[in-house]
Amino acid sequence: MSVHGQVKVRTSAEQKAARERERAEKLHLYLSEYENILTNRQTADPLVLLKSTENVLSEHPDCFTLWNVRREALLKIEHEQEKDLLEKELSVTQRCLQSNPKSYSCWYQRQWCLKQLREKFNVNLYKNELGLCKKYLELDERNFHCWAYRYYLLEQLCPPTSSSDLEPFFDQELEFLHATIGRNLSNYSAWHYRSKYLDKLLDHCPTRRSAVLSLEWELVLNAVYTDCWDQAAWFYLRWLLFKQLGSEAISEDKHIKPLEELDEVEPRNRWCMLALCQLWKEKKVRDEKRKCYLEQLANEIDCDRAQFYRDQI
Amino acid sequence: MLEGLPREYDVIVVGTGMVESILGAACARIGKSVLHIDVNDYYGSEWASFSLDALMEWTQKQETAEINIDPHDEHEKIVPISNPKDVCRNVQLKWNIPETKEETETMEENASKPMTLDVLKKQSRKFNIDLTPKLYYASGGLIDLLVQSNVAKYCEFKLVSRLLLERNGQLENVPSSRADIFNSNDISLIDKRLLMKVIMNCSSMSIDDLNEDQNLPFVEYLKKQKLNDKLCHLILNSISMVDYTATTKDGFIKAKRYLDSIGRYGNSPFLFPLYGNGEMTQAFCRLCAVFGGIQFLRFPLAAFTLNSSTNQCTGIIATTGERFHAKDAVICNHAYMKSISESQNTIHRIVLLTNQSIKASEKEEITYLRLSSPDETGIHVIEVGYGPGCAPDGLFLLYLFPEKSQTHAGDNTDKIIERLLKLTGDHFTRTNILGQFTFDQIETISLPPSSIDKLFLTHGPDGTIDHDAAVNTARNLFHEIYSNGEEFLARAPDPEDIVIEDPSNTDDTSTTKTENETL
Repeated sequence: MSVHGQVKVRTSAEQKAARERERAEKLHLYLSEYENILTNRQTADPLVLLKSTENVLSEHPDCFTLWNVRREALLKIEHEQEKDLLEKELSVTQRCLQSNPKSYSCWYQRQWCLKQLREKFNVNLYKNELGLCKKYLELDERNFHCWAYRYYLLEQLCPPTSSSDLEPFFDQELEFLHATIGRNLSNYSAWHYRSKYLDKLLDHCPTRRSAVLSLEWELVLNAVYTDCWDQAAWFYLRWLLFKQLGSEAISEDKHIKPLEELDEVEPRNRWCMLALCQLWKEKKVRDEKRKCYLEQLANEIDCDRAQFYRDQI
Repeated sequence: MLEGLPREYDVIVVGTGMVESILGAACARIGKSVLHIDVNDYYGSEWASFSLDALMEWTQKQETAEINIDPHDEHEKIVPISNPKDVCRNVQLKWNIPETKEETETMEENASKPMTLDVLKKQSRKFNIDLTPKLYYASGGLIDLLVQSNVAKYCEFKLVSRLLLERNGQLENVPSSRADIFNSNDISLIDKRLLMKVIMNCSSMSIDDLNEDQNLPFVEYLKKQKLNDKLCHLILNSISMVDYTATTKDGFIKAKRYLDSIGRYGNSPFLFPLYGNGEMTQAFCRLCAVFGGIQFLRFPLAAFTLNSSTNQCTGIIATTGERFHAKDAVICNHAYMKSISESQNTIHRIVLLTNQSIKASEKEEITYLRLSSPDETGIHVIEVGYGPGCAPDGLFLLYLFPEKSQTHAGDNTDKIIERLLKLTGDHFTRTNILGQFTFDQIETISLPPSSIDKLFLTHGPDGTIDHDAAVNTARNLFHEIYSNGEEFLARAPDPEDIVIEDPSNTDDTSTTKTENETL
């Protein structure tokens, strides 16, 4: 370094020029490789095609055409090699996912590989995939691609044989979802998948119904009290009350009263008010107050959805 | 040994404490010539970190001899310095473990081999013991300065992973985020809502929204929001971290900072530097050197030189008589002034060396606990171990110090330790305390500024948990010294952007080579 503080530093104009040069080079490279692959698509050896597309895709994972080329190539290869190549394909997509964890193409490719491997079902492979999902969800718990992929995996892994295995299987997943919600109440995907698994569990073990729903109610009540402005928990609450519990099971004491108390502490909360209005309607109570709230919601609090509220009066 | 050292500078900085180091770096950064000295053989002054050996050496203070120097002429006045180590009084280091293994043979057989002092000394370099431990708010003055100036690249940090408070006679985790409150089994539903409401308000409201409530005591404002005693204490003590006498305005500002800091680097608002707080002063000294500042430790400093007719400080003088001149300013740690002996405000600092954490955990933690009650000032407790490189594996450093300095404080070490032991129960008892190091640090922050022109006095640490005071003082002093709009610690350029001219091509400015320089 030179004399006191008089350092020559690239100006922002020079920095910009350097960046432009770099970009132009990268673009040129990409275009020439892409051209090359497309010209040789039908004629080249599948293994060669796989190699060349791999290089391009690791930097640009969202190029649909190149993934199609890969699928064509993989299908052309004979059976013995196929299994290994398909498993290797999963590690290729993993590399590509590192540059874009939300790439539609990569996640689709993974699912496609598993479908191709269907006859040679390998439990360890699926368990590895589950582990990968967990890792990606830790990085971004709202990666809906990952959630959907996880659901697909679990559907496949679902014990097909004895139905006594199903119950602990669902319970386990509900545990995982509970922990995820515990970390972030706003995780809509977690609540959504929780509703799906709850449905399956209750279908499978109808005797546990009242106990399970009771615990669920406590969970969602805890959520809406902790953060009454987060819509994910409110959606789940309404689903639980109206789609699972049903009118007869809704009790004024257990379900309506706590929400009324919340309303007192947090007046003018549109979610709480709407839930109460719907509950009061089901149980045919507090008609006057219900109409008053719906008017308030339509005219002052949530005017964007005025007609929605008015329709309920 | 001072031959070859230039005599003329723009700025001379005496002492390598936090404020001086930031200032030295700031002056060098704008191109001023800086001589940065310290009489000690280590960086940091009262903010230093020590290995175990270095600490034991430090506790043996030596007296410095008075040097008599004659003035050059009738205009020059000599102001001798004080021994800067005098800013720490009553230094005591007590061990509860035997010196060597031979002494243990007379003791009863224990299931495990008892620790001895010579074993600890062998691991001396794994210790980094702070004289002044502090935490860093993720959205606070010092972190912002480190990021803005790019000095951050000289240091590494870890999150303070565990925040505790006193509850039900035990140590429990502080619930401060939405997730913490959701997962807590200890708070009723209504209380969860009320607590979240207050927390949301602290984050989103501005001070002006408070109107008249601003001057209410914070505890009364919280009661107005229908919080019970326990929750009031949670917010006052563990989120705002203020005393019960604080106003709502102060409580609000601090709560805001705490809440803003959560999530910036992780699920905790505080960072702790790897290898201890002494690293901070060294990071700024390094920046000063990179921009041409001269660093000189173990400098044989005798006195300051004044021009008695203009009442201006002109520089310093070594014990050997060499004089060094500062054109713009002499910046000096207050500890070098004889006047500090009059100060009676001290911060009583306790450092315990332990072999067990105060609360069990499955993983390595950095722990912070604030103890307080309605009628006493807060006490900060910080525990660090192997994680941030401050102690060997299995051992911990437990720092305890009060937030406010006290006048004529008696030695309340045992009282404070007893209070902590009541909360840790069987998990952590007196037998886990291997060593105890205490001292009284004179608080210089409230001392008046110098009355001598061009002599700028900096202060030592206070009892607060963060560095804001030091950063603000440094910034203010910088603008006092260079008041023509100079930038305070502008961002240092990244290595890739530095262009180094080839000396043989000085006419042709269009060809420039770039090199990677490690700054």
